[in-house]
Formats: sequence, structure tokens, C-alpha cells
Amino acid sequence: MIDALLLIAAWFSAFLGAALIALTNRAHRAAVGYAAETRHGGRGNGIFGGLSLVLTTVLAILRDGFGMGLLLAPLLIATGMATVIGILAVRPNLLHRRWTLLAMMKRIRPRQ
Amino acid sequence: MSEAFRASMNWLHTWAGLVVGALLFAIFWMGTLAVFDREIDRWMMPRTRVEQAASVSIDAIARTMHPLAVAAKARRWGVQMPSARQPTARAYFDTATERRVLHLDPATGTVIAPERTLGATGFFYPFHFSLFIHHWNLGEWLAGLAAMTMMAMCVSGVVIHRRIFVDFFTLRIVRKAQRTTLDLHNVTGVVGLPFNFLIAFTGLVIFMSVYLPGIRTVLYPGEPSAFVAEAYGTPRVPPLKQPADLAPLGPMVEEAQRRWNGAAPATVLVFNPGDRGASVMVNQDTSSRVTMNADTVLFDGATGRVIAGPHRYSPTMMTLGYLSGMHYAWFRHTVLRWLYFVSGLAGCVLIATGFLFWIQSRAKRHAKAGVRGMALVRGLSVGATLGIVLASLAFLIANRLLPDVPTIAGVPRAWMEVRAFCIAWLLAFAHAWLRPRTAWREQSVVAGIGGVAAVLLNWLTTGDVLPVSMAAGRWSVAGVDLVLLAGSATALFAARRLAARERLMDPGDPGLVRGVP
Repeated sequence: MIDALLLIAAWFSAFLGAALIALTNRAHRAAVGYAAETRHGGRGNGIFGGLSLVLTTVLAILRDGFGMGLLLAPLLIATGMATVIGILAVRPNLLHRRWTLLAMMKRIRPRQ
Repeated sequence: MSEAFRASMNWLHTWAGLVVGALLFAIFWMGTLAVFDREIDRWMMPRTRVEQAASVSIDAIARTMHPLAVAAKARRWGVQMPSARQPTARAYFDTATERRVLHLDPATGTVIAPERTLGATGFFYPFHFSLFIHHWNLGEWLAGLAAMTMMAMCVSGVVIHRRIFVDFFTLRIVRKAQRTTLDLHNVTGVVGLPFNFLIAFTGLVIFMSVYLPGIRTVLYPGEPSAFVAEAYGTPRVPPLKQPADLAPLGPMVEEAQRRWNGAAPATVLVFNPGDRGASVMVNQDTSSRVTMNADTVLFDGATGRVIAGPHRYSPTMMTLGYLSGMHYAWFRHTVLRWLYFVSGLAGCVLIATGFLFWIQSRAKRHAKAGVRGMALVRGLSVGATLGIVLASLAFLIANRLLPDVPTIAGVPRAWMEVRAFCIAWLLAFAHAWLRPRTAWREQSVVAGIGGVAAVLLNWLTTGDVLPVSMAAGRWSVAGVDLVLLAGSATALFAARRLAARERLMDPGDPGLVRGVP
């Protein structure tokens, strides 16, 4: 059970990290429905996104040890990125903060 | 970065991809299937779809296998212990000319079924690295060339991708097919870059001794087996030409487990069976880790005395074991193996979209300039990509259609399946060259129908319809059926989209690329 939860958490962290990094790109922000100019620049999102990917690696190592964890983490990150790419290509507004936990990350909100 | 350098990398990426792409796709496709080789084996060997036995008796297995191996004057016999992925004890013996494989009940040693198909472990997996070309290790050399090319294309692809960071998450699904194809190629290439580079590199490392034969020749002059003994702790003991019985294997396995602090055995191998010079190797199960160091314990077969082991691997061999383990993916980690499978499929998409983009970006220009050869490349791209998919489906369908007898028309049944594979692949190439404009659509339709047909045939010949397999917990069979159905749905969807594109195109345009998605 704990293994499954760790895996889900690691994947979600990868997805969130990929989404935050993707939204540092002005064109993607516009596609998602945010104003291109955000109060916080892309840099903060990039840092949070990067930390989220590090968290994925930590969770994968916690779950499977260094041997398999270091294999699992990049592949989870790759699938997280692929999911974000797919969403941005087909239904970018699914990444909008109304629909995702990105709402909790108040890094991406339109300039007041 | 200078433009000249970028241009030279672009040239390398384009032409290396075109020349080696077909070979690379075949290797990637087979490697992807080999990730689930044991599961495909269960699908192809219905009589081995049994519950995993609660106990294993290696002596009961030996009572069945040893007399058979001695009677056949086999050089060795071996058994793979049952596991969650392979519930039977898979035993085999090698004669001078062939290998016979039997699936045994691990508890009683009774024969469940002889293996009358190469299955995925005997066909998809060796095809992946040898292409079944054994003369002068030519298959391994070609696979090595493909791996080197893959690494070169990973590097050159990064160099020529000007907007690699800006377009990192960009996939534009638009009417202009060329744009979507290039985006898909870029996305699968960039996201899959670590996997593709790692898998190509570790593939080269595994066959290091083939590609660099001089290492053994120089370090172990005149004694090639000394390398194996030193590296893996498995010295070859020659036969003494004196008959002798085999000591009980159970105590040997127990002794090996005691020396491994309770770890489970994966394989037991008996060399020179029936001879006083018999030796027994017990290899540890490594499926709980990436590193594939088997910590072999070697016994005297006649007395059961320990000769050597467990072998202590050098740091170099430990590194090699980890790198090999990363490539083989034999570990007991279902999620990781699914991720390997998906990454392998993404690699196939990368190669196929590379072919497509080459065609789409040149079709009109070549048609206007009257350059020949486009039909050849179109046929090559369809035959090399969809063709091998169709051939793999033909292999599975032949497995379900051919009668369960040792030989058919004088040919071993297993090789009849391989013939079906080869014929289907050749037909796919012929069709692609004869009808290059519609080949993508038509072969997609055939692939869609083929996948459904394989699932239906599995149901009709074994009674294992998908819900029954799932309810009974036979996830290996259900998984193969589900992947076949998902693949069929994708192929039919692609065919439908291609048909819609063909209807929209102007047949009077000399440069149009009908049939290219």
C-alpha cells in the first residue's frame, strides 16, 4: 500500500514539476488560459518545477532503493512530461488552476 | 555553435537515420516486445498457463531431465526455476546440434509440455540483438552499428534542434502533417533522450567482448575460457569419459542458498551429465536488483562437493553487471518494466516519424525535380515499421493456427512460425513498394484486423477470453490480449485518419504524398 502511494506521489510530483516548467513558457501560459505576463516570472515556476522533479527522484529512491529508484525516477519524469505535452496539445485548459493542484501553487496567476 | 557544425550534424542525423533507420526500428521493436517476453511466452504456450507451484523439488526435476540428457549425450542440461512470470520449471538440454526444451511441474518433475514454439524468449529476444544472423557474429555487429548510430543521432539531434528548450513541451496537432510529424519526432526524441542513449550505450557494453575481441586475446592468450573463469567464476570442467551418477541436487541448492544468506536460486546447470567430470552451477536469482551478478556456486556433480563460490565480482564486473541489468530489465518490478515498454514504443515512434518527416519534407521537391528513389524510401519506411509489426502479428497468429505437433511438412513447428513471420514481412515490403501511396493506410487496416484476430484465436483455441483471463488472475495472457486490442484500435484509428486525408487531397498534384500521415 505504501509502495503504491509512494509511486503515485512520485508520478504526480513528476507531472506537477513538468507542468510548472512548461508554464514558464509564455506561449504555453497563453494556451492554458493565463495572461502571458504573470506577476511572478517564469523563474520561480522553474525553480518549483525543478524541486518537484527532485522530489520525484527522492520518492523513487525511497520506494525502490538506489538501484531501481534511479532507473524509475527518470522514466516517471519522462511520463510526467509526456502527459503534460499531451494535455498541452489536446486540451491545454485542463492544466488551468481550476482543474489541477496547480491552484495551490500560487505562482501562476494573472497580474492584478 | 557554428552554422557549419550544425549543418554537418544535420547531414549526419538525416542520412544516418535514413540508412540505418530500418535496422534500428527492427531492433527497437523487438527489444520492446522482449521486455514482456515471458508474458508473451505464456500467451504462445497455453499449456504452461498453470498456477505457480507451492514447492519446488530440484531432485524431482533432475529425475526427469538427467536421464534424458544422458541418453541424448547432451553437453549440458539446465533448469530455470519457476517464478511469478514463468510458473513452470523450464528445463532444457543441449546436444551437438539442437536444444530441446521441456516445461516441468516444479513439484513433481512431470513434463507439462514440450516447447514447440520459440516464443518471445526464443525469437523476439534473440532477434533483438542477433537478427538471427549468426555467421561471424554479423547480427551482433549490425546491432552494434545500430546502437552506435542511435547514440550519434541522439547527440546530433540535440545539436540541430535549435529551439530545444523553447519547444520542449510543444506538440502541434495541426492540418499540416509535416509540422505534427516533426513535433512528434522532436518530442519523443527529447523526452526519450536519456532512455534511448542509455539503452544504446548499455547494448554496446553487453557485447563489448564481441566488438573488442582483442581484449581477451591480449589478456588471456591462448586460453579464452580463463576470462570466463576469472570474470564470472564459472570455470569449464572437461569430461573425464568415465560414467558416474549425479549426486542429489537438493543439498547442493541448499548449500548455495546457505552461502547466499538465504537468497533464492534462479538457474541450475549440469555440465557433462553422466560423466565423472560433471559439474553443477547454481546461480542466484537477481530479479530483486538491477545488478545481474549471479554469485555462482560451483559443485562437483559426482560428489556434490563445493568446488568454488560464491564468486566475488570485481568492481569492473559489478559495474558491467549493473549496466547489463539496466538493459536486460529482468528485474521483478512491473511498473518499471511497463515504463521500459512504453519508452521502447516511444523510440519506435521516434524512428518512424523520422522516416516520415524525411519523405514529407522532400516529396514535392523530388517530384518537381524528377529525382527518383522516393518510392524506394516510402516502401522501405512502411516495410521497416508497419511491416515488422505485421510480421510479429503473423508470428502470433501462426502460433495459434498451426497444429500442436512436433513437425509440419517435415519442418519443426517452431520454425514454421518463423517462416510465417518472414513471409509476412516480405509481403509487407512488396506491398509497400507496389502501392507506396496507400501502403500506410492499407497496412494499418491489416494490423488492426490482425490484432483482433490474434485475440479471437487465443479465445477460440484456449478458451481464455479476456474477462476469463482477468478473473482467473492470468495477467500475462490478459495483458498481451489488452495490448493487442489497444494496438488494433490505434492502427484502425490511424487508418481512418489516413483515409480522410486521402479524400481531401488533390489527385492532380504530382508531388502529393498520399498515404503519408
